[in-house]
This record gives sequence, C-alpha cells and structure tokens, in this order.
Amino acid sequence: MKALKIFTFLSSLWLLFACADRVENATELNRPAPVYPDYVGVTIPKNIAPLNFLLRDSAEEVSVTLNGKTAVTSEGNKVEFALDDWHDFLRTHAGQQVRVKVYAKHRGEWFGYPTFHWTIANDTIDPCLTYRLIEPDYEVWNHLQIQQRNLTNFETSQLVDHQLEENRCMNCHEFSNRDPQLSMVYVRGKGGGAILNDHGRLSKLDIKAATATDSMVSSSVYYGFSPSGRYVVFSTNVIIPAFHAQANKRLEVYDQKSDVYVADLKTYEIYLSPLLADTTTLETFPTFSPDGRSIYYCAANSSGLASKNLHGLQYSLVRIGFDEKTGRIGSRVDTLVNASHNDGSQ
Amino acid sequence: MFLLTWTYCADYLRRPAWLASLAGDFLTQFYYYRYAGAAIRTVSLLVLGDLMRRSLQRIGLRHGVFAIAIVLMTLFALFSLRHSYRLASVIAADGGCALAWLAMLLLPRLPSTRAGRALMGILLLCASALAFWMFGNGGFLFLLLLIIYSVVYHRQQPVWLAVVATVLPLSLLSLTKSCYMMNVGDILAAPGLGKLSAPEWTLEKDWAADDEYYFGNWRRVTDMVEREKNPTEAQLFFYNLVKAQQGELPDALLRFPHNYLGTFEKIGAATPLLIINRMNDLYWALGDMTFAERAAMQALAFSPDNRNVRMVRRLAEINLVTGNRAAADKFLGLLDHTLAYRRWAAQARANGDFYREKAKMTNRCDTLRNSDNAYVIMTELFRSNPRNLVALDYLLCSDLLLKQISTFKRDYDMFVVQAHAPRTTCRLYQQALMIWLAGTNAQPDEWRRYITLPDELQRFQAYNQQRGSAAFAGTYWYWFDTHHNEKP
Repeated sequence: MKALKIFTFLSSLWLLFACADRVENATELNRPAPVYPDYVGVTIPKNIAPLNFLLRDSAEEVSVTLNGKTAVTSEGNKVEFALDDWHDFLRTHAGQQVRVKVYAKHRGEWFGYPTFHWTIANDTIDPCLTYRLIEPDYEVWNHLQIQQRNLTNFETSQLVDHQLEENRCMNCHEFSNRDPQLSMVYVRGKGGGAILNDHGRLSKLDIKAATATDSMVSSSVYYGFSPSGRYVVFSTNVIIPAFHAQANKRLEVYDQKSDVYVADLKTYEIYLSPLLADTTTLETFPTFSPDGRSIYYCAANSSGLASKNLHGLQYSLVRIGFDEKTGRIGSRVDTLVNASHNDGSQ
Repeated sequence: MFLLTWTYCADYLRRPAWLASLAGDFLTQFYYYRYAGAAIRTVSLLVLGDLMRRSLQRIGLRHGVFAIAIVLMTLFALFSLRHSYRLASVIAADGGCALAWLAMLLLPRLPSTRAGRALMGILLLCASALAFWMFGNGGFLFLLLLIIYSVVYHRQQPVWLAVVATVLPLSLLSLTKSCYMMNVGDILAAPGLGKLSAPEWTLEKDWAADDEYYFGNWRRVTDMVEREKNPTEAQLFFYNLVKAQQGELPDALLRFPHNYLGTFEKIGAATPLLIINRMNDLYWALGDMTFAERAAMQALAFSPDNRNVRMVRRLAEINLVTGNRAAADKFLGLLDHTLAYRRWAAQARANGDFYREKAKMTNRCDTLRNSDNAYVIMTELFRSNPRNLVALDYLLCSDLLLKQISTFKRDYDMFVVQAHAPRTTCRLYQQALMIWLAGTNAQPDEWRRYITLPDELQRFQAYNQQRGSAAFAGTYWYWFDTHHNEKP
C-alpha cells in the first residue's frame, strides 16, 4: 500500500513536470517569427479578441511570453490565448507596450524568435463587424449570408441568409453613422430591391423604378447615408468581371458604365445631376462627407475602357457639393486627387 | 472532405440531421479507396434492413418481415442509384429505425401504472426529439414504427399518449427555423430525400473514366474507352486528355468520329458541375492556372457544403505551381486533417520539382480576359512557352474538329512553322494542310514547303480518285468529307 502511494506521488510529480510550461535553453534566432496573421508591431484596442496566430513553420510546440510571463504553450504551431485571461491582460496593460516573445520547438530543441511589441491602446473598438460571407467566386453561391462578428470574442451570428430569401443574392449593406437602427441591404434578383431598415421597420425601395426615365444603368450598388440619415447617395454600375492571364493576379472587376444618384428616404425622390451621370465619365464609390455638405466619389474617363488591359482607366478622387436641406446637388466638381498626375488610380 | 478536428465535427451541430450528416460524411471520405464506397453503401443498407426486421418483429409481425425489410432496402438502394443521393440519407434511416427498435425494447419493461405511462410519454417524447434532431427525415421512420407499435399494443399503452409524444417534436420543428436558417421543408427533408431513378449508366461510364484519370491510371482510361463502341462525351474527354499529355492527340483524334475535346465549354452559372470538373482538369493539363483555379472555385461552390476534397487538392496544386506558398499551405493544411488525403498532402510538399516544371508551362501573358475563350487561352499558353505541345495540339485539333481549315492553316503557320514546333511530320496536320493547299490551288513550291510526308501525298492523290471511300477511313480527308460534327 505504501509502495502504491509512493508510486502515485511520483507519477503525479512526473506528470506535473511533464506538463509544465517551460522553455529551456532556447537558441536565439535572428529572423523574425513567421507569425500568421502578421501581428508583429501592431497597436490594438483594449477590447479586441485574442490575437491568436500560427507559426508558418513546422513547429512541434510553441510557447509565447507576454512581458516575460508565459501566456500560452501548446503543441503544434497554433497559439490560442484563453479568452478571459487575454481580456484581463489587456485591461491591466491598457495604454502600455507589451513585449511578445515567441519560442518554437523543432526536433526537440527550443528556439526563440526576436521579441516584438504590441501596443495596447486605451481605446475600445465597436464590437460588431458585419460582412457578406460568400464563396470566392462570382455568379454562383452555395452559402451566402450577411454575418455579424463580435470583435471581442469571435462570436458570429447571421443577419440574413440566402436560404430564407428564396436563394437570392445579397450584396453591399450600409449603416448610417454605424447606427444599426438605420441600415440598408440590397437583395438582388426578381422581386429584390434595396431593403431599408428604419428602426426595425423594413421597407423595400425599388430605386431603379423610381427614376423618371429608364436611364439608370442598374439598381443601387455602392451607397452611403447622409449624416442625418435622410439621404442615401448611391452608384449604379454595370460591373464586368475579368480574369488576368497570370494566375498570381486576382480577379478583376471594372465598371463598363456607372453613375451616381441621391435618394431622399423621406420623400422617396431620386435626385440626379448631369455632373454625376456624365456618359463620358465613370462615377462610383460615393459617400457623404461627415458634415453632409459634400459628396465624395471616384471618377474616371470612360475612354480608359478602350486601353490595353484597362491600364488607361484611372480614377480620380472628386467632390461635389450637396445641400441637405434642399437635396440640391452642387454645380461644380472639384478634383481632389488627380489620377493622371499620380501615374495611377486612387 | 472530412476534417478530423473538433471544431469541424462540432460544426455539424449547427445543421439538421447532424448525426446522420456527420456519420455519412465521415464514411464518405473512404470512398477514396477502391471498392470502399460499394462496401459502405451495402453495409448501411443491410443495417437498415436488419433494423427494420427487428423492429417489425418487436411489433409482433410474424410473416413477411424479411420481405418488407428487403423492399425497404431495395427502395433505398434505388435511391442510391441517383448520384446526388448522399450516404447521410441512408444513415438517417438507419438511425430512425435503430431508435425505434431501442424504444420498442424499453417500452414493454415500463410498469403499466400511471407513473409508467408518464415515463412512457417522456421516453417517446425524448426519443422522437432525438430522432428528428439527430437523423432528420429518419425521424419519420421512427414515427411510423412507433405509432404502429402503439396501435398494436394499445391495451398496454394508450395510443393517444404515444401519438402525441412522438408527433409533438415534429410539430415544434418549425421553431428551429431561425436556428438552422432554413425553411421548415428543408429542415424536415434533411439530410436529403430520395428519388426513384433508373441506374445512370452514362454517368457510371463517365465517372469510371474520370476516376481512373484522377488516380493517374491513364492506361486504364485509354483501354476502357477503346473498348467502347460509342464512348460517352466524358470518356472521350479524358481519353483525349491522356493522349494529349502523351503527345498523341493528333494520332487519336479521328479514332472516334464524334470526338469531343471540351475546349469550347464555358464555365458559368449554368454550367453543370461535371463539366466544370472537366474544365478544371483541362485547364490544369493545358497550364492555365487562372481558369483551373476558377473552375476549382466554382466546383467547390456547387458541391454540397462546399466540401469537394478533389478541388481543395487541386487548389493546393495550383498555388504550388504559381508559387503562392501561403495559399498552398492553407489548402494542404486542410488536407493534413483528413484521413484519406494527408499522405497526398505530404507528398505534394515534397514534390517541388514537379510543380516547378509545371510552372514553366503556365500563362505568362499580361492580359485581361472577359471570358474563358479557350482559343485565346491556348494561343497565350503556347506563346508563353513554345514547348507546351499540349496547348498546341488542343488548339490545332480544335480547329480541325470545327473544320476551320483556314484557321488551322493560320495557326499552323504561326505556332508550328514560325515557332519551330515538332509537329511538321504529324500525319493529321499534314492531311489537313493538303486540304488547304488543294482548296487554294497552291503552287508546287508551297506544297513542297508544307508537305513533309511524300507517302501521305500519294495517299491524298489516291483518295481524290475515290473520295468518300471507306478505304481511307481514319484519314482527315475522309472524316472531313463524311462527318458532320457539332461541337468539339
């Protein structure tokens, strides 16, 4: 019986030491830690979710110290911080710079990568991020959702799902001043339209049908709310997908036609200006200035469409005035950054 | 694709019929091994038959138990003939039957007191909820068997209680709509309903060729197709793909009068998955990684739950070829977590020479293309690397199947004569050139410049004496005169 107790004690001791988070006699390396995603030297808000990462090498074990104290030791090349411990750490180190040291074990031997830093800002970040989840393709989808992610703990929830929308495609969604009470999402296809959420009251705006003539090249594509939430500035685009012959370049999309309009959500009127619907110019990516007195957008001469590989299609950053009281669009376009002066698009 | 990780398996809890789907997908990965698919399907059907037999015997049926079990097995076997019918659906039926059988084992053991009846209600309620939660439409088999059982044993147990307890979870299923983000109909049908269908013999042949090509058994592909009197489109496609990579496409082109290269198929929203898969193989063989990747991505989007291990494997390969190591590692990392493909992933990492060699054949033209115009792609591939004879042969053979002799002549001049490609003694191309030379009343010096095989010229002269004669079957002249082709 005594022998059994001694055996149990020694086994427990062995297990304790075997599981201890210890890095011994690590050889220091000169090359930076192959951290993915590259979190080296970043500044982070104090409520962000753990900066979990992996080492892009074949580490058998990995260990991370924060300010000299071991935070994680795990098998394999993945580093995952415990959520509560992480948030405690951020709270206590807000406004400070933290030393991060990564150790990796290769063939039974520990190696230490050069220390890097994380700066923990005293600021917090808005916890919710919404995005469209779709396969990396176009034209087709199998799973399509507008999702919301909690940036403080990785939790996700679905706001819209294509299966509950009769398999319709959804695209850009926008919030007024990041206020979830006033938002818009565009549902494509037959019976679709811009779905406006005004404090939980949903309405469908058939923007294309609202124009007096059939001049609108498509329904709304990219848009932004005015600061008051009364107006929406949007572009209508005929978007063409194209492929680079070289496989290391991604899919290209460009506009064959595009114009910019303003919709009044109170009177359900569409305002258009010849300056924003010039047939020789492609106008896109509109947004209101924070004071609501200007509309910023990108504009390119459509003659660039004829250039080889579209190299001549260069967008400038421009601005036009807007009066929120009357809904009147300005009469002059100011070029803020001229693409032709910068040898490239903005 | 089935990843052996906790997060991956836990994700099944977010869908209806999670256990049936989990078990079905887990077992489906073993279809990778020869005969394993047939064995797994057979066992799952036998299990279904046996569970049905046992359940019916518990109900008290004495005659016809085996017949009913066999009819059920046959029904599910017929469902399984349809290629889109997933193993998870058979597992769902297995699960529903198993739960019903277990419930019927337990029910007689409950006391026939008031407490016993309450216990019975709870048992049936839980079992029914479990059946629909874990096995989706398999719950209906559970429901059916339990209701029959309750009717038969109505003296021991009140029927109304059994019916209410078993049906209640079904009526509450609509509450899970926002949880699963699915319509109630889809939730009830999960993991998929069967449809009676005749054996898809054409698909059988298509996939036989496809599989043998995929596993690198090229000899089996050619033998299989050459044995066929009328090969299917897919069989011809893979046959030509093998021949092209062996440098024998021009020699094999006219072996089958209704040949099919697949070069003018488009990848788009309306393209069937099987064609997209083929396009992936074609562009991979040709060396166009942009469209091989596009086809792979689209095939993934069209696959159930976006889990097409074959395309994940191809995406890893494409990124190894293009040198995007980080992306390749992402896909290889997924394959590392599979039972069937982890060895392949390790081999791919060690097979750098092959992918570097493949990289030499890729498209290096800096162009922007609006569509997958195979003609443009093949010309760019050959311009990028004049050693890419696969692209050259596909280009010239596509011209010939379209009977575009002047286009063929132009391409021949540009890509064989000017690029000094080793195709000047190819019989098929020589025969086609003779048609062009004869058709344009070419001068003798032009004939001498193009025709390098004197014996072929003599045969052409002989053919012109007896045009359309079957003695010349196998020549391009004969095919040109007698065949009316649709699309190459």
